[in-house]
Amino acid sequence: MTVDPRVAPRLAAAAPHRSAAHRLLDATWSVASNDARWCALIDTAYAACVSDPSASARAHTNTAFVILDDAPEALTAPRLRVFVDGVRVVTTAEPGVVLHRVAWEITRAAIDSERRSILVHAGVVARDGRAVVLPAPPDAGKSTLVAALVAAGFDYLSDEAAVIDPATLRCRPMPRPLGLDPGSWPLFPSLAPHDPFTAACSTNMWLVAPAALRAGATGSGGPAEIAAIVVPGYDPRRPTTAESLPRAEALTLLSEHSFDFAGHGRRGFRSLARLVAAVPCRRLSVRELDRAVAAIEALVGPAR
Amino acid sequence: MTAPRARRADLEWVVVDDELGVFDPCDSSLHRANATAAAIWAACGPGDADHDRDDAAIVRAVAAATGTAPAAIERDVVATLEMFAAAGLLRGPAPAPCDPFARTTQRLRFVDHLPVRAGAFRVEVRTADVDLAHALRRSLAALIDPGPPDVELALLTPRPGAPRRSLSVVFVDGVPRLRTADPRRATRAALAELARRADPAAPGEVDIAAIGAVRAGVAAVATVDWRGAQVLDRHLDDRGIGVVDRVHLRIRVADQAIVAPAPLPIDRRGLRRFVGLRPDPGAGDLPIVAWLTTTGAPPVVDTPRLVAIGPAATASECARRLDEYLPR
Repeated sequence: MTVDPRVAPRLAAAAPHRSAAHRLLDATWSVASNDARWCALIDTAYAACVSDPSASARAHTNTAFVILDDAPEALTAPRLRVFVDGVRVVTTAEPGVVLHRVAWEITRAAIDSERRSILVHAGVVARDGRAVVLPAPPDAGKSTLVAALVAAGFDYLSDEAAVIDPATLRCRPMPRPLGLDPGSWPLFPSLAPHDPFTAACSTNMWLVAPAALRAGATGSGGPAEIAAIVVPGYDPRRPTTAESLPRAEALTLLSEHSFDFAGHGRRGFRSLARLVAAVPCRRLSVRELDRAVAAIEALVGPAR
Repeated sequence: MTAPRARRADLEWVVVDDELGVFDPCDSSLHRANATAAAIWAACGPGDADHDRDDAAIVRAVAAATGTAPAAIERDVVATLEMFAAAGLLRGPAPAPCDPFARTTQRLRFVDHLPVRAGAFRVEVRTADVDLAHALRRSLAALIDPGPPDVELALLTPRPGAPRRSLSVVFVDGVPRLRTADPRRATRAALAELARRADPAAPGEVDIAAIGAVRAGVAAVATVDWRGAQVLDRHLDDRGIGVVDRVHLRIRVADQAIVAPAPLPIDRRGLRRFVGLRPDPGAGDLPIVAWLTTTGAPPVVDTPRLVAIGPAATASECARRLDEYLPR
């Protein structure tokens, strides 16, 4: 999508600060603002997604985000506007709404950009090139579990989507920052935003760069062979347990959590059927994070 | 002798760990069944007329495969075949697969009766659509509460005689709220209605999925879904029209006014998320001067002006019509 040529010059003049050019799957994008702090925040959160630091953002961007703060120095209720490719999508006084929306739009652009792979709503971590796919609906604790696994030494591939090649069944990384909801904040106090601006923008969600969990958390950055499918669910009433998941149920869950199962048709069905037949499938009831991490470690084996 | 049964030839299916997974390319739905059902499925035949078997033949085949007496399994086998038929997975006397109307008529029987605790009510939701049944069971898992219903609040059923695959959300008061071929949209509408009905704290108020266009202290409501609200919002902004809520409004029926801040009607996080309730703490009570329907859903209050602009209306047209009815 290109910016309306009538709007582009005005937005460019109003937003002189620019983030680096970022890339997530096949989407490239950058953020411009009249407040340099927004660009710095995005650059920090999406550090694992920098496309080409030596190139200008404009040359490599196919989605342009602009965040305008009409009263950046005001103490209360500044008017914030978010533009995506020149179209205003949000007008709000809440910086937390802006960050949440921009992160959502970036994820959507990335998912829309990837046409060949099967995308399943899932967290993905890997050890020694062997990936564990964690499909689950929103609020199941995916990002929380992924954060704990990465902190424990797993490589981070995504907390949002398993990007599965239908031919090779390997999983491509989508290393967007982890989005931690308020419910998981007490579990990761060290990840709390440090500066006042980031804190003000993080009222709905902490956007956590993988490197904040562990240096080198994104590993090689290459595709990983899927070694297991684990369906997590937070249940405070049960001890943490991993139990076998019928493969046909795993197949159903993967299709239900797929972003575009219909678009892949028979081929997608066959690929997912091949996948569930080839790897262990488990259901993981999570109460204690450390035990959940241990259960997954036991599934993929010790680090080599 | 019963009519012959056979699998539809266009289906993809696998058996993994004895369980069955069936992919229906017509609507990309995926059906799962246990090992016993997988054995029955295998006995149904490959879907060509030469291999069609009637129920008795299928019972005998399953009995032979499992080493059981036909009489002992006959009832279960026939029930499973009925389930396959209800899901539209069998080729039968019905018209050819992938004919949307044929699929609809195959599904006329209710396949699920879902008891749900929603606030003060125990509600039974019925559906004749397999996809919708699955979607409802997932969405309402936390609210399922077996037992006799206090209120049979909602019926979700295909619309008889529809020219294409179509679902109607019909409520017990007989007012059709929505007709749509999209099961997710039907589910959202049903849940929104459950949320509205289940709020014991606010008699005389309703919550609806809509956008409230506001100017000069009055509002015009357009019933739009979430995506429509996103687009419409921009057009309203361009016309200098404010917005009360993009997704969900609380309306006081007696005063015909938008009430805010809207309390969340059901203290269930999952349901709130699903129906997309978003209270706007900044808004006050606003009298409604017009109501534009774009989704086929009738307004929930008597409004001075009722304008049906239809689901095909563009956002710009909707914004222009709202602009007309708001004072300057």
